[in-house]
Amino acid sequence: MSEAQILQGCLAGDRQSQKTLYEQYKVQMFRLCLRYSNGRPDAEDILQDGFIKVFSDLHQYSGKGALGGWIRKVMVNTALQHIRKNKRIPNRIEVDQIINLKEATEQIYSRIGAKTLTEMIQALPPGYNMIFNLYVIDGYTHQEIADQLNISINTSKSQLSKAKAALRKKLEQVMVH
Amino acid sequence: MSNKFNSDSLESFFQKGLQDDLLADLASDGWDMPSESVWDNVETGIAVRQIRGKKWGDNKPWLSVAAAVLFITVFYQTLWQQQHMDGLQNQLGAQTTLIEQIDDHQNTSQSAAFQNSIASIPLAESTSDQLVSTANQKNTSKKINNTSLIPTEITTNTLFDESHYQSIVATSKIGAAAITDQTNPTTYQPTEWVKQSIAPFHVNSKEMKALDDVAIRLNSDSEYKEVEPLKARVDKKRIYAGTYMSALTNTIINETGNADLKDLVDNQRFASSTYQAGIKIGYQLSDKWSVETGIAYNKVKQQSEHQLGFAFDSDAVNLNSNGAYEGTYTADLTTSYGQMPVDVLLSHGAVPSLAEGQAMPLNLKSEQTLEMIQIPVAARYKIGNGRLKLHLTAGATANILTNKDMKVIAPTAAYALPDLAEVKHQNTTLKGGRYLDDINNLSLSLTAGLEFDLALTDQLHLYVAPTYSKGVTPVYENDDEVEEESAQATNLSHVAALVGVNYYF
Repeated sequence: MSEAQILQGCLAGDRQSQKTLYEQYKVQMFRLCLRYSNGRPDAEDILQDGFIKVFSDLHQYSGKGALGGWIRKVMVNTALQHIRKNKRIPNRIEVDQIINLKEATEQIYSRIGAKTLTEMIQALPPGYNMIFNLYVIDGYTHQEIADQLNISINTSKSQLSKAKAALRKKLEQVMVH
Repeated sequence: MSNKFNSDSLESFFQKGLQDDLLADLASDGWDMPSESVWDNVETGIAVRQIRGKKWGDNKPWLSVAAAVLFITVFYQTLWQQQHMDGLQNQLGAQTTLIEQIDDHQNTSQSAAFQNSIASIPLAESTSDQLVSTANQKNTSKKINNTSLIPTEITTNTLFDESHYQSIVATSKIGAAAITDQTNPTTYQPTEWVKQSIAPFHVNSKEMKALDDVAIRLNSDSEYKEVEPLKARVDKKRIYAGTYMSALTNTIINETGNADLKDLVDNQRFASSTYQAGIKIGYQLSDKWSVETGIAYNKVKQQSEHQLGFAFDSDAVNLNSNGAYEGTYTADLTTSYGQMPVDVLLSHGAVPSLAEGQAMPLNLKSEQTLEMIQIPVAARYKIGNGRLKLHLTAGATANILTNKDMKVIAPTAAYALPDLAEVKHQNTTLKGGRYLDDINNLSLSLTAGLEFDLALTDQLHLYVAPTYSKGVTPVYENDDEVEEESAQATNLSHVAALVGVNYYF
């Protein structure tokens, strides 16, 4: 089935078309959800809610841009809602969270693959994690991040800087070993 | 060690490391594969959302219809009300013009035209209990400067008929009430003329009270004109007078004290007869409350049975002119009003056969009669507004003793004595005298009653009133401090069904 046929089938409520679309994007979206979550169970919740929203609001897809890009946006928004709902957006980053990050990197020294990178990002404090994902991986601008999270652009930039500093330290430690 | 991971390279490193194209093959350990349950939950979530959407979608047409009907209804209701108000305004304008012309002393034909025009306006039915009833406001034709300038009948409907309310203004004792708005009645300004007004009129106004005197004026520029008094409506008239009598009545005589009352049959007796009749006058303080007083005549007759025993005394008997022996014996009868002496004459044969000291038991009755003038004062509360109403009455009565009488009735021998030929009594009636001194000339009682009032006409009412009156001060009191055993007090209580008529002026 072509993507257009799958899309039509999904809009008509055809379960098989929906399953096909899900299978096509589930891995990609699950990786995204893993980056925004603090573990697998959390990531699966985000993925599940995200795809329900995709199928419910599929009629809003205008056809401009890739369907995958639209689905990704829905999934990111779902992840952010999930984080807000679970109150994982801190007002400020505590110093001891950075210390925890140092401890976490002890376990991932030997592996620097996608999984390792994902886990490194997962291990970031929620604020750093979100902004790093949004800016570096998902391509949001600081203005878009500020609007999404209701923070200032400067806060977005400083949080990103701190997130990168934390990840740098981890990576340096891995490289040293 | 150089910092390989500067800002830009760090970002590139992560971007490349997480680039989806390079991760086309699934990881061998499945870290990036969601569990099967995720799709099951997605399927369930989609199905739930579809059901909710369908319900909403199914009802959408009906909701649209309902919204349309509601909109149309509100629209036309608003439009109709506006048209109705416009029509009433036009009517009012026409009537106001006509009235002003009449007030300029136009000729009779024009006033007749005004009356006719008033009569042609249909008056709404009076439906609210809060409005003074039509009958209360019924007026005869009112003449002002020999011209009838207001309708022959003024009712609450007339007053609050929107086409009239700017043309009729009523004032009360407390000031002028411009009844121009049913919901916002009145501003009050006292006028000298109002104090002289004698015409009662009743309007529905929060500030004005029933029975306020009113005057009528046609418009704000005219003088207040005195209105002829209304015919009285019975349940709102101020003064009434009545007469009554007791149809069924009973007097309960209560004796208390230490007196030896053993020769009385029982301690609580009922009078053999009671008669009560009186006249009263009442004044209506308000629609519900009245006060009344009057004067009444009350007669209480009581009989008591006594058992006496005399001992034959040969020294007390004498030979009479007929050759028979007779003797006079004296006894004190214990009555509700004290000791009553009685002389009993016993006649024997030519030769008395009774032994000295032999007992001669006798039965006799005594009768006490008290006549009183009563001055009652009572408050009366009305319940109900129809032809049949109930009044609750409560008050006090002053009982003034005018006459007291005691006598003995028919003594008889308790059993046949061998030679007792005749028993007679002497001193049968005691009027005045020391034995009646302890009866109080004034006593007080409290009364309460229910008055079932039937309006035969507007003025004439018939009523039946069960009434209870309890004596709170004794009619008789013997405060014999020396001989406490003979101390006694007697109170009278009445239960009566009074029947009477009231006439309302």
